[in-house]
Amino acid sequence: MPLLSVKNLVLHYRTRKGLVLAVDNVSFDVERGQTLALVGESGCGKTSTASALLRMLPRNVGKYEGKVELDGTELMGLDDEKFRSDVRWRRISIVFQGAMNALSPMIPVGQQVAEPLMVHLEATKEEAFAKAEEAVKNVGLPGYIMKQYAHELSGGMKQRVVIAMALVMKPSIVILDEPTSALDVMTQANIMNLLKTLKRDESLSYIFITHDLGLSSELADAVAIMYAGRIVEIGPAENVLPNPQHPYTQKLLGSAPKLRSDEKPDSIPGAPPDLIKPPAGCRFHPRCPYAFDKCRVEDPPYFGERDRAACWLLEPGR
Amino acid sequence: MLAFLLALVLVVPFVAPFDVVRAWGSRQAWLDNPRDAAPEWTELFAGKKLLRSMHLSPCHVPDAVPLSNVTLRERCPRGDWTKIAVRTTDFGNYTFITMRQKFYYDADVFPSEMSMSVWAAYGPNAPQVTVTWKRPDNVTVTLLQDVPEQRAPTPNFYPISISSTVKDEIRVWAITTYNATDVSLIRPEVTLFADAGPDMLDSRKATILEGEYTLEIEMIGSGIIGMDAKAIVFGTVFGIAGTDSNRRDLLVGLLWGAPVALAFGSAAAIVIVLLQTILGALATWFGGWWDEIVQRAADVLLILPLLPILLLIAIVYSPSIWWILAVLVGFGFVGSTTKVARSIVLQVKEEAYIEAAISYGASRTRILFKHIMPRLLPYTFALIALSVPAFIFLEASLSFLGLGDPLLPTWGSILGQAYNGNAAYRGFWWWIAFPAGGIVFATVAFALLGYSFDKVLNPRLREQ
Repeated sequence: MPLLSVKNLVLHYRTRKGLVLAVDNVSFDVERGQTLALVGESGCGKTSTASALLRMLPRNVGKYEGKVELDGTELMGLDDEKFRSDVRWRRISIVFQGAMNALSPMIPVGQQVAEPLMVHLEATKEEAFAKAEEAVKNVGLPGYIMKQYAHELSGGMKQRVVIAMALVMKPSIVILDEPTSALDVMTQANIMNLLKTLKRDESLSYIFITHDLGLSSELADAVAIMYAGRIVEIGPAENVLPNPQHPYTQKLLGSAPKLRSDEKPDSIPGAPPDLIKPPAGCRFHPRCPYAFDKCRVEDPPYFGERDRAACWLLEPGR
Repeated sequence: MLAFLLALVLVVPFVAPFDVVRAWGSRQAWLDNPRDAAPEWTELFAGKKLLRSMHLSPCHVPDAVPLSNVTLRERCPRGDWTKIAVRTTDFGNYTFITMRQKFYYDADVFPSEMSMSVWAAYGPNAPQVTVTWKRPDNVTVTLLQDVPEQRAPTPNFYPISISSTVKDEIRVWAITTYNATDVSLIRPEVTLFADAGPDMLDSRKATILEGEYTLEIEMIGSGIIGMDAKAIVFGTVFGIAGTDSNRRDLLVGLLWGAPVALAFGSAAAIVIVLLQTILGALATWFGGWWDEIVQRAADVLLILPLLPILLLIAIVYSPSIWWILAVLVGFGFVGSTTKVARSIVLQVKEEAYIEAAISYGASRTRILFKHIMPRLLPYTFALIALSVPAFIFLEASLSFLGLGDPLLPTWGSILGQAYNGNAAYRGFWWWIAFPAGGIVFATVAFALLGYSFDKVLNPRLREQ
């Protein structure tokens, strides 16, 4: 049984122009101790999926439904208070996009790391600080930074603090929302190594949200490719990355520049679709070089066994 | 500058105790001071010797006036009078008391006024008082003869400068003895100290006679009587800050103006800015119709002109300074700072660490006080410091218009009285410059404080 099982998760936003189908029927599983990489371009619904999992919803939610089962508990059925006290940070935590801003400039970082513990009445102030210091040391930072302010730390240190904060209550699953996007390559490598070590030592499960396929291959056991609010391809990393099935995945892989090759990186013509009025049929068809009539009319189901992709090209008997 | 102001606030109660302030509104308390006197140090620039008031202090007052029942040269413990009492029963039962004092006059200006008080203790019949003036040129003139009505301890007050009997006495004396040119308005204090001659009645032409003058007061009464007296030759300079037309020592008013202005300004600023910040932040953070109500209320109160409203209230109720403060708070619980708070909260609430706080399950109240309020604090402190001058100004303008607290000396009310007393036209610059300087000083001090607060309280600007 998977640790986290998401079935037909839907999150729509109401706007003045209409309903934004940010997350539209997304399903995936995360196995215990494994990492699922959620890959896609900007605005395809990756962060919205994370918000939907943590039930961090803006005011203008139009539709929010689906089934999320974590370790045998159905999360969507819990009321808000129970979800807040039992699930958030205790069982699922998140490392936010842009660590530069994820720390309050007015409070020493140690106190911020200890905050979740104090909020959940897990511990007295002293115990919380002791645990926070442990968490800070666990991510390879010296203990004295507990008393420092966010602006006194480097980008990489801030990112480590944010990771320490996510791990301080020892959740079973951590959502990493582009944890390295604001960092330079060296620091990025450092953080990736830290995440790997933590995963091994604490047997954590990650949902790793990124737009960087190369980076996802570092950490991921499974890869899910998102496009326009949907997962178009999902499967084990060793299948999806070397041998992508969906044309979008192929294009995405082709658009990464290669170091020792004269081959120019490919690009995908057009722009991601408007999520208020997504194209009928397969949502990728206006940009797909292989699109044919059926793609424009009918939404493709998933085809394939281990590596499942939603594309009519893969329909058996074609 | 602020340190100086605060030091002033601490020192003032010792220099000028509060009962001095309570006497600010009364005339009685200041009778011994000269009117419209410049500060003493103006002598440095005047190039001539100006006159400090000369006090011929009484012998016993405020103690009880003793009765003179033997012939004796009596002691004068408090003053410098020579006091001689003579009892006689040879031709009836009479007592003669003479009090005489010599003083040296060497100023280059005429005194501004002269006055005298005589205390008389007597039996059924009131005694007679005769005042004689002996000049350095050995001329003697009788200033007045009177039968005092008041019994000690109430003094009989003789305002020599404005008494018409004294004026007539002097006019007749000067014209008959020295053939002086008569003028319609004479000033006894000028003529008495002027060189003898035709010009001695005209205060613009008279010249000063330096030397030793003697004031002699004689009291003749039947039975046993007692007497005490004092006289003041009012000067043209007084103290550090001069006096106003009500003879009040402006230094006291100026010193007390500082704590009053600071207390009012800072109390108003702290209460109003904090209220506005907290209300603005609460409303914005919890949003919805709360936000709408608070913001619209702020709009309305921002548009309402506060000064006319305060004027109306002040005219109708003549309130104390704390009522004015209460009205200010009532009309200022939301306002421009609410808008500032709203703009900051709107900006801060989108930041990632707020999202993080929501995600780890912190309650909205906790987030407000833990993450949002600290962000508002530097602005709040700066705004408090920067709005103190506005309230000092407001209080000053109300007092200037005579609508402030009538019992407290404030810089604004001193300025207002200076305006009503035509101080600018009459050249009493000290009456205007010092209170105005006080207002400017306090304002600048708080403005500078506002700028430096930001540096201290904002951890981003804090130096390690």
